[in-house]
Amino acid sequence: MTREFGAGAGLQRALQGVSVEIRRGEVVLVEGPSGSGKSTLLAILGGLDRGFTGEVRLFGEDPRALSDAALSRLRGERVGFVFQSFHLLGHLTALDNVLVPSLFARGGGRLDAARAREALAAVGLADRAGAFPHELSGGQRQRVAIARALSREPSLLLCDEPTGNLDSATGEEIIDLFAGSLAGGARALVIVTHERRLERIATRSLTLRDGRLTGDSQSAGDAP
Amino acid sequence: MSPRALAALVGRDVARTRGALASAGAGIVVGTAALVFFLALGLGARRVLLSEVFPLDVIELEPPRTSAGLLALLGGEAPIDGVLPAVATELGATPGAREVFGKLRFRFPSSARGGKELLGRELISHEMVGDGVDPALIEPELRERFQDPLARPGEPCVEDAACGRDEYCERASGSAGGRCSAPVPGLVSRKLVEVFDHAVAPQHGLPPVAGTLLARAEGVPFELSLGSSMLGVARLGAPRRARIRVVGVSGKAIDLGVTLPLAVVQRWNREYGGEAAATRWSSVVVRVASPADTAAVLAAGSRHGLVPADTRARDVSVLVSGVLALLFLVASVVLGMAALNIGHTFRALVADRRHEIGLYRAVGASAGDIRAWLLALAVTVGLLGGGAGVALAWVATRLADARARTDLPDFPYKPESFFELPAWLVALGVGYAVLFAVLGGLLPALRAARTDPAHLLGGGAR
Ligand SMILES: Nc1ncnc2c1ncn2[C@@H]1O[C@H](COP(=O)(O)OP(=O)(O)OP(=O)(O)O)[C@@H](O)[C@H]1O
Ligand SMILES: [Mg+2]
Repeated sequence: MTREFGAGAGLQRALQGVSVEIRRGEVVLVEGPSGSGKSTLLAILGGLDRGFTGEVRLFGEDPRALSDAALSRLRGERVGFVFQSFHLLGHLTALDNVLVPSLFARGGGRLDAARAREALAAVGLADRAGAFPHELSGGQRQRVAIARALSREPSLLLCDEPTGNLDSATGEEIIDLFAGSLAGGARALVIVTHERRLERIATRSLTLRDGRLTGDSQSAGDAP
Repeated sequence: MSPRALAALVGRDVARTRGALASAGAGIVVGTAALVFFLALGLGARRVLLSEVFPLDVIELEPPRTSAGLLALLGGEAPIDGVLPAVATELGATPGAREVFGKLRFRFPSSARGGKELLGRELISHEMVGDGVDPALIEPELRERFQDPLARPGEPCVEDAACGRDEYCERASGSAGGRCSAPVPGLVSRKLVEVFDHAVAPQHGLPPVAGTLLARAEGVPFELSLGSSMLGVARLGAPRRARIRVVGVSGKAIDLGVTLPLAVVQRWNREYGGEAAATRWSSVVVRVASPADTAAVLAAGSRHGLVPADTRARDVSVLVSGVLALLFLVASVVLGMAALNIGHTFRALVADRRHEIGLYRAVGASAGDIRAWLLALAVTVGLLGGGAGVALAWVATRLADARARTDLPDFPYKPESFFELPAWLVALGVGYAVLFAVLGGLLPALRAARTDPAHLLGGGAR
């Protein structure tokens, strides 16, 4: 796949001829210097960006051939995102933040509060369900965001620098959460990160440089 | 997105963005209030003016007065101007005409005195006008009392003294003897009562008559001088007196004067004006099904050289419609500005929530969901603003009516309420508010739906 932004003199090649296949059960780290195209790759993998050229299949579907509604549903049902800056909604409690995806799900709001509480409990925040984001620490916020991403049990979890805004001890907790979120090989994780410690759960490492894939190596990945 | 989810989203927005939405909706409130208030006032004015003061569905056609006057000046002898009964029948057959009846004006000078029973003192009218109407055309509840008294003539007589207490001797000029007659029943118009009660009575320290006039079973008697008045004496016949008793208020009665059973006026017109004065209508009244049918009736009338007796109804109607249209325009401008204001607020709101919108997209919201969400928010602002505007307008109409009751002097046709606020006007006000709110929110909603969600993903580069 190739992704370009702008035109003429301002043309930016964010990705150039990158070819990857990600299978369930994989934990893929994406590394590379700033501006190398890591986030762009995630956006395309998650069906957020359809402006690429080349060929892409998401769960067997061509995202450019799907209607916006169908692609959105695919995202809602099968993809989870975790962002560097959490993107929690400040006016909602932790519980309501976890429930946000269900607002747009088919059958509207199907995910009931009980399941959302379970998701919060799974990230160790059972007792903070009623707290607002500003009442939570950075690590707790990211855990709420992970609960939100996992609440609908996606097949693909995409994380863009999930520990980037956290101190190293807190980052460690998050890494442990990822290690526990592999759903027994039913899920794929793609994590953009500079965090060396994540390598202990990774099965594969991609390296991007100036939009090109310069490295693709399997690693031990001793996931518990 | 399900309606429940939509309601949850919009409900949270209203709760957290109260201030901004309220100030954006304030224009909608003011615009809707102005719209509803002015339209209610216009409808109220129209109701009073067009159904009571100048009814729009009634056309009175008569021969042109000026030409008759001119001919009278030139030729000395005025031709009998009148409408042949056949012409009246033909006018009644015009499409849209629901009812037609002839009116026969008094063709003789007359004056009146009376009213002591009702007013406590005698009132004199030096010029009395009146007409005759077929009792069959009168409201059923009045019809029985509104009959030619000579249909059941009394004893022969030559003077009133020979007759019963209330009776008088109806004896035509030149005839040797007459018959005793009960007083001739008369009807007056609501207009006369209104003008008397609110304009004449207060100035002369007289009591209002509207209530008593209707309540008195025996009616209000007065005396009519036939064949002579301040202005002159009839060409034929000799002046004499007759007794009249006002028995009610009728929509068929002459505006300012008294209306008597047709047979009586025919007799008197024959006595003082000759045969033609008794057999030709002085005017023809046509009631149409809807004001739109007026034109056809007017056209049919003009083919027979007849003109409308009174064009004020049409003038007033045009005036009221014009003023209404103007006020509607003013309110629309206010609402248009409110829509711009909402557009501003929504644009700021969408810019503020770029991340939020991106997040929604990332977790499964389609562009359509985002559009629906923001439009639902605009609809909500419109509904709340429109509802508040209608409520405000309602309060304003109540206040204005209360002020009018206490602070405005009494005047003819002063209504209980100056406003009319039918359900459809409430719906129109709220609907209009929603329309403008949606217009204002439309572009920002469309833009929000196009927001590229990929920006959420981190990057120092962006
Ligand atoms: N929407 C956009 N418009 C223009 N240029 C863009 C856009 N998105 C990405 N780019 C460009 O594409 C290139 C790759 O960007 P990307 O965000 O994928 O890098 P990244 O590897 O995630 O960097 P970082 O480590 O700083 O997050 C950059 O040069 C960036 O300027
Ligand atoms: Mg990035």
